[in-house]
Amino acid sequence: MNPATLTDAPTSTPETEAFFADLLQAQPVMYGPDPSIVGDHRLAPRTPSEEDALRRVTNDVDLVIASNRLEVICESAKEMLEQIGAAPGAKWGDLTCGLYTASGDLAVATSTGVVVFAVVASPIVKYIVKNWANEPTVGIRPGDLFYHNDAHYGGVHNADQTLFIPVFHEGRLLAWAGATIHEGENGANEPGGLSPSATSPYEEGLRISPMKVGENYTLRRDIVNLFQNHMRDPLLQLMDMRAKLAAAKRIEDRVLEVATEQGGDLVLATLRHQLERTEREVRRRLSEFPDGTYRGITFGDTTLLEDRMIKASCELVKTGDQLLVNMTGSAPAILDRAINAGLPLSKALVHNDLMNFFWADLPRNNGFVSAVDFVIPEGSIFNATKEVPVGLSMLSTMFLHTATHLAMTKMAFNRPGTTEITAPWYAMVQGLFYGGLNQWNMPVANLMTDINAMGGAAHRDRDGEHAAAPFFAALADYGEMEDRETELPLLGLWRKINKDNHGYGRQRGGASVECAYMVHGVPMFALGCMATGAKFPTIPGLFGGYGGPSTPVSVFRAESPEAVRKVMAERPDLVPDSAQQLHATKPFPGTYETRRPTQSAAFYGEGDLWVLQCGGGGGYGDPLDRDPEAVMQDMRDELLTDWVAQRLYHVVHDDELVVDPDATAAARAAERRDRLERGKPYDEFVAGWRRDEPPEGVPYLGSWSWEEPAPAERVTEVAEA
Amino acid sequence: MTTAMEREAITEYLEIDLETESWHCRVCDHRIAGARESYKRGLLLYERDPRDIYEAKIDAEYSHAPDPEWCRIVEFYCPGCATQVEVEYLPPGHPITHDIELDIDALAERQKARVA
Repeated sequence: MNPATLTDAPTSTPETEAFFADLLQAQPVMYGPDPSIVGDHRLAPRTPSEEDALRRVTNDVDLVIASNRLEVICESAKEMLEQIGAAPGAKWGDLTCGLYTASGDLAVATSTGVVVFAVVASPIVKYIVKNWANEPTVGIRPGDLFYHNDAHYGGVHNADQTLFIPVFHEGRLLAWAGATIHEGENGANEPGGLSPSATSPYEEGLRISPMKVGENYTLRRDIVNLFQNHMRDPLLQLMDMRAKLAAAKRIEDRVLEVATEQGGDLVLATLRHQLERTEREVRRRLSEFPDGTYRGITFGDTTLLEDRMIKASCELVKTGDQLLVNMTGSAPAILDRAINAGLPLSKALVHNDLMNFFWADLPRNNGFVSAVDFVIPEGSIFNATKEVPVGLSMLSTMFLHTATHLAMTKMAFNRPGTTEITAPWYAMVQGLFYGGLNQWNMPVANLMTDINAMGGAAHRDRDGEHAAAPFFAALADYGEMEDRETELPLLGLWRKINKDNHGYGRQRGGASVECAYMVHGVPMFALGCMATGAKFPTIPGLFGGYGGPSTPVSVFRAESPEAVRKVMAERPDLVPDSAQQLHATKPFPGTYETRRPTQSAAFYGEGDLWVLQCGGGGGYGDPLDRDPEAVMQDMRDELLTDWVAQRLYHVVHDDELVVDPDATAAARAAERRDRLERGKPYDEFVAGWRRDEPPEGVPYLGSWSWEEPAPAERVTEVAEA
Repeated sequence: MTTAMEREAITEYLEIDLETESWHCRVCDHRIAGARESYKRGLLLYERDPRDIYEAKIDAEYSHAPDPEWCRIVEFYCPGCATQVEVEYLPPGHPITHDIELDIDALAERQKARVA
């Protein structure tokens, strides 16, 4: 702007400023994402109604019984939703139900399913309350239905959709019932709702800001039609909007039963009591841990479209019952890649660690996160603004979760019995997304639930479980191969636990599965995938244990469908059952390659094959401390190769896998002597190790040293693909 | 009469002696470092090529072994008993993480309060 223009501009007066302020407040151009809501994770202040209710309801027994009843209400609604939902996510556990206070704080959530769905939905309810309650064209009345999917307002990502119903009793707003499903398809520029190639929010499909979509418990068909018009799978959209309505209505009906039987005040008091009780208990438990500063870092290895190292940094400063989580030093936001995350989700991943790994006995609600303070700098990858794409936010926040878990565990170890100590759970989503016409000529677009087969972490006193569950959803399943083959034009060649696909240690991590899908029965089908962990492992181990191996994907392009069919018909013995064997034997005519585990969707023809590997959990403790017999059992169970048994566990055995105890003890003693020989004192090691900046040839985003964190305001745009 | 202070276990293999304000190995009792500094300063460190730990089962750019240009594994051993106390996965040359920085005075006060 020309400075002269400024000089010549008319001087504003208090009157004109007030006029324009009133005008803008009364007639905002748009009710966009509200930083005062998405940035505030604290519980809303008690309302006068809540104060009155807490004064009237003083019997703790009544509160406990009512809280149990409300938890069962949400749990049964979630179970119902899991049965009637149509999306793969609904069927296999990527969903949740919750009950929110009238102000919008999540007060009761299911103990299974994706609890953070409900946690990050609180800003959405608060947005509705703030903006639509007194808006004459909207309003909040009994029977209204509200809907949302845009993660800039709250939520995990735009693949999730939530329906809310306000719960009124005797004319008073008591609560909100919410039902969330990972629906997948949302009309983004790639099928399935998770687009690696989206370079702005405007390529991330339908973005539903919190809005009313129905009245009198009836969805407005013209609005549903608008949503369907954006989607590749309109049937799914219709079915699951109805399914979520049914689940939320079930919650409302049963909450009103409680209110009618025992009074609305009991519901109000119970919800508030649950929140405040949980926050107090979290603070009390925090106070038991030693005061100090604890740090954890992890690295992703892709921006989605290119290999880049992306740092997640977590520093915990724990003082008394205060816990400050500082993410300074993490990678800056990447303006044109969909790997950024909003504040609610970044905080919710800390919440997830506390809820699912530390204190699973406590009620699931916003009291957890309200007890914690955060520093998440502006410009950070974990503090995305409205104009930054966030479709695959879960990738960056998953390695943030691991960094947080490392620091949390080191804070908590001192107080055994107050929490469970585990190595990192495998924390990444390895799965195909897809789109096209299936073998029944029906449009389909979604995500494979193989992502849920994450290997469980090694515990202090036991090995991790195989293909246990995603770290964010207890009891989620990864579905039946036969279901996939029925619904999709894919032939499942194998889904099996592979050798060495877990973290090694005194207690080993749980292994996970490798899955192979061949396009079958259609001329072409779109496939893609999203994950990190090919160049840099997704998780480390803990206290001397190792993390799992890298997890590349393999892609085979058939020379022709006929050539593949011929091999399968005439030489079934050549059909492989692992990526290793596929690449070693190359049984079909065509091209073979491995790729980074994030790939944009492209069309693949009949006979083309994808192999993906979900990762194993981290190991715990020195591998030399592992019982040699347990190592042999892992070999018998085909979890482990002799390559690892000898090199890392130093177990000497015969061909029948019988341990030679003396030779093993000697081999382990020799390895210990070798450690003392090869290990260098700290200063000597650092002098030869430390670099002032990242290695040339390794593109790197984030701070390099703790002493010199990345400037908070730094925002980097990746220029070339 | 004063009561000797108990050691505080901080990790699977490390504890703090509040009397001497020092880190000790829980396996062999080796004194590792002063309690107010990083325990890693008193350990032996070794840099691993990740292909030593993970077999590259596929001969291709992306395999089951991390890329050694991107990832190195730093192992930390107790100088007394050679127990592998900790492992860090880092880009080559990245500063070692000072992962545990305790408030020793608060830890001592907490123990005194607990005993009392």
